[in-house]
Amino acid sequence: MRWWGMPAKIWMSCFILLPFLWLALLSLQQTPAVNAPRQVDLHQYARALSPPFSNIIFNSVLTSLLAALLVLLIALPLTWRISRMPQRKRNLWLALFTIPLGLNFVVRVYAWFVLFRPEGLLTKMLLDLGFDVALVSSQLGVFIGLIYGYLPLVFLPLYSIFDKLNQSQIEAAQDLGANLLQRWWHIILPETRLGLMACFLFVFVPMLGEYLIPRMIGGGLVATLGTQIESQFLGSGRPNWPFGAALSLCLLAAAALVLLVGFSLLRWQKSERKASWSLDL
Amino acid sequence: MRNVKILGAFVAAAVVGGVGLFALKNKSSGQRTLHLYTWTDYIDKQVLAEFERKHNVRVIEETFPSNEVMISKLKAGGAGFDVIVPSDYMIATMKQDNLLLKLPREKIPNLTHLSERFKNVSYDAGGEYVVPYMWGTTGIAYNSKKVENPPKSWKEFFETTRAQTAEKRISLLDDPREVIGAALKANGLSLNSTQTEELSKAKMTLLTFKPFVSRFDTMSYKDLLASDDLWMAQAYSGDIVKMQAQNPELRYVIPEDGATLWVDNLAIPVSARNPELAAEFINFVMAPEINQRIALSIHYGTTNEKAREMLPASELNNAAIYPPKDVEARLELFTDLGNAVEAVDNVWAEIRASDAVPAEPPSAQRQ
Amino acid sequence: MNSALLAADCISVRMGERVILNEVSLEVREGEFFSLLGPSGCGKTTLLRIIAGFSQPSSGRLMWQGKDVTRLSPQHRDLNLVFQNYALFPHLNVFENVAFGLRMQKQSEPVVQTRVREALALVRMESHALRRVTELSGGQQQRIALARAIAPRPRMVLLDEPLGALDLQLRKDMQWELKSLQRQLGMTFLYVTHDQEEAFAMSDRIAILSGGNIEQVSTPEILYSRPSTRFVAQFIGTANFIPVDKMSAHKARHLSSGLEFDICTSDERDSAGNFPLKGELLFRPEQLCLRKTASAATCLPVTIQMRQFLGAVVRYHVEIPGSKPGLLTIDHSSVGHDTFAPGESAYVELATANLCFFKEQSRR
Repeated sequence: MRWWGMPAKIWMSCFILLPFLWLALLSLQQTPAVNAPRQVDLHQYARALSPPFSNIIFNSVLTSLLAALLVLLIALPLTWRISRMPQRKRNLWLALFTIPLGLNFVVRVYAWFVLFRPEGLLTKMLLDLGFDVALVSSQLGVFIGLIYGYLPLVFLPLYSIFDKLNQSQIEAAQDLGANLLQRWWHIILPETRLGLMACFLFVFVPMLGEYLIPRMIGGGLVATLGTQIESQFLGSGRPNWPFGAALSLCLLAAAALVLLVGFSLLRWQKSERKASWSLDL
Repeated sequence: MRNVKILGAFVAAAVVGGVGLFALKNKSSGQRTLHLYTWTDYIDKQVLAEFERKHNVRVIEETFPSNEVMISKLKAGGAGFDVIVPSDYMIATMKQDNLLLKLPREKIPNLTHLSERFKNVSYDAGGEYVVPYMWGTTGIAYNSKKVENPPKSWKEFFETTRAQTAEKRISLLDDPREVIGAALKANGLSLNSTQTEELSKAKMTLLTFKPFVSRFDTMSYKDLLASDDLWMAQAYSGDIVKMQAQNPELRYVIPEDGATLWVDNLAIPVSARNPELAAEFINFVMAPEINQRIALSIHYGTTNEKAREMLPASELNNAAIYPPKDVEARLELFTDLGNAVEAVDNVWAEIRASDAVPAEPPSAQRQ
Repeated sequence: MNSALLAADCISVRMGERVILNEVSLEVREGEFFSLLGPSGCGKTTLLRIIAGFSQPSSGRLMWQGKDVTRLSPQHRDLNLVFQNYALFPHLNVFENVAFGLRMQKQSEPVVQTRVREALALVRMESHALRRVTELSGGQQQRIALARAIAPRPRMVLLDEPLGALDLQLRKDMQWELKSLQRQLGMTFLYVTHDQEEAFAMSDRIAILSGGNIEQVSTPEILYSRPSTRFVAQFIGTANFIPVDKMSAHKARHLSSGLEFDICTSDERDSAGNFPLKGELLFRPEQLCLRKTASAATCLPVTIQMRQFLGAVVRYHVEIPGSKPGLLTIDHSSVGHDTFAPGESAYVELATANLCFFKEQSRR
């Protein structure tokens, strides 16, 4: 039965491993010209890791981290509340929150652009309340757009995590004197932390490479890692594929780094108190 | 287990059915497809529909925001485009890189209707590779109600005092040559300069101006002008004429210190899947009656003499579309920069990637 | 008399049309082992959850030492719950599980150490202190759950059918352990079960619930010998019913045989205050005796239907010919008695005094 894995292996090699290798080789080229000399050169990486691109990379990672965190923080209480509801209500609410996923992503972002633009409803409302904020062509607008764009993605995974939680354990904790915060910290979070981390990464990684939202809402003024990579391969101005490849690998490296940090954080949380007296057992 | 099998059978049937239906649909009508790669809103949809009916084909239209994007896609192994619409300054490089097919002139008899000046253009001697399609200008668009002291030149356009009154309501085109060209003109320099100091001045102007810019946008800026989200923009002539129907306060002005004249051309790429169909399409579009309808709907200048004669006076007298002779003298064509284009690219990259530089006092700018 | 620690005052729970608990009132005294006994669906778990604080009644109050605690949240109630499925925390080891309540009370580390050690010693699981709870067997987990509940020294421990998942021998051992633990600690235990034998084995007092109503609250002896309703009579132990007419306050007569019996004092009369009253007499298996011949006056002829050897007793199912309901269950100790075979004719001698009479049930 060992050949069951073959199709997956072939697929992975052809469509993931090989393109990655090609991209890596491309990033080592010195100039974008097609007939560039075949020598290994880290010139593209030097450019990618110095200003202004280093700033862009740093900002993108930071923005994505914050946005992903906020997505989780917003979705958490909502999904928790839903998971405690009776079955029929539960399905209704889950459907309501997940239906936006059925809409085209571009259409969704464009809808928010219509609200965010200077003459848009939201901007006008905020103006009436005394907040003169620019929601388009600004980091803020892109930030909100990212959160909104990726929020519907986490509801179902989060819900399935909470659904699996053993209700009697939480009741036992409460019965023994734990208040809401303590129940979360001692019981719920330790049990769900792996799932929560997965949900976090599930939105963080795509956010890193996101270019539609910064393009549409940022109007080309907000430079993110995603928009830069896109413009190097396709965009206005002459394309520079080796540089784009180098940027792409930087994106991969950033994502890998966050993954590593994330999982080592998980292990650190698992501090155990030892019963001192049992050492003489 | 039985349910899974039933479901699997269902899915398989659906897939086979779907594919079969799809193949059948195409097969029964024996349809060929024409892949058109052009600028946004650059051809009347009704004209396309008529071509589909007349020749029993399907036309798939795809759009691009700038020549650079079009070239990228083409070089990357584009999706088998049959007809493309490159601008004048790109043609030389495209010919050099062997991207264009020589036109089968015998299949395009309507070429005789071209105006004299477009029959033998500088970028394509003898009209061997491209057919000039529409021409226009790039200038300044503004909302007459919102902008009190409208700019009459690129220099005035980039003035920070005026920009402040329209802060975040201004857009520039997402096109490196146009944007840098405008900045060069504002500084009294040549549109096609590649000199380091001159480009540097242009860059400075743009960086100082950037904080007030809301978007770099070629595709949706005209809708935003119509909805009052933008008050001032670098714009294509035809776009503004089109939008004036929706928003009568929009005005278009050809800047006094110089503006771009551009000619977009129809061409057949080497990688075209249906070159004969492409030629038929070009011929169809050059028919005076059709061409006149297109010109009326997109409000750009037509290269077709016969079609031009058929246009109503209201169209012909619109200075934005057909400017008077003295204004025409101010217009410049982009030239092909060859390898020197890299200097312009670098400036563009820097402008797009950087955070804006705070406005410098005018005295410091006069270096 | 010990003071009442917990009192339920007319607690009702209604869900739409359904009544889950109907004006339930009872008292649990300090230091006693009290059981809530009833068949599935009788509402005992609902009542337990109200007492623990996880539910609110539709009406009625819960009093704790005289104070109304109906709306008090579970973490502030001075009682701890031992769950049916143990509900141990899988990511903590045994020690931390037991220590949890103490840590929530913010006890100092030495106190935590001592108390946990004591609790583990009481349930004889000291050596397992550092194990993961997922590695323990069902019975071991049960003991840890118990230790966790008692370590913080609550005034009352609630146990929700904790022995349900254990096999018979282990269950019997645990019953003994629970009882002696309770005696040792002097804590009040409130035990919920559907197993009548289990409740009888451990409890000082038992409340019997059926369909949301309290049928009777009393000691096991009284419940057995003086059930106040037919339900209690038939739920507890083995019950035999023989149709009789109540002739007066103290006498009842079996119609077909004319036998007369002395019954316990009760004040059941028919609505008009007239006798005779139709009903049934309760005979426990030990109040019946099989004989080969009709020896005493109170004997009825029967036919043996089935014989079961149960070890300490031999159980006979006999039929009174022509009588409804037909079967009686009679237990004889297996030594020193005549044996009977199925199909044989015999005589059953009935006890004549201290019998319980139940009015005829109206068809619901």
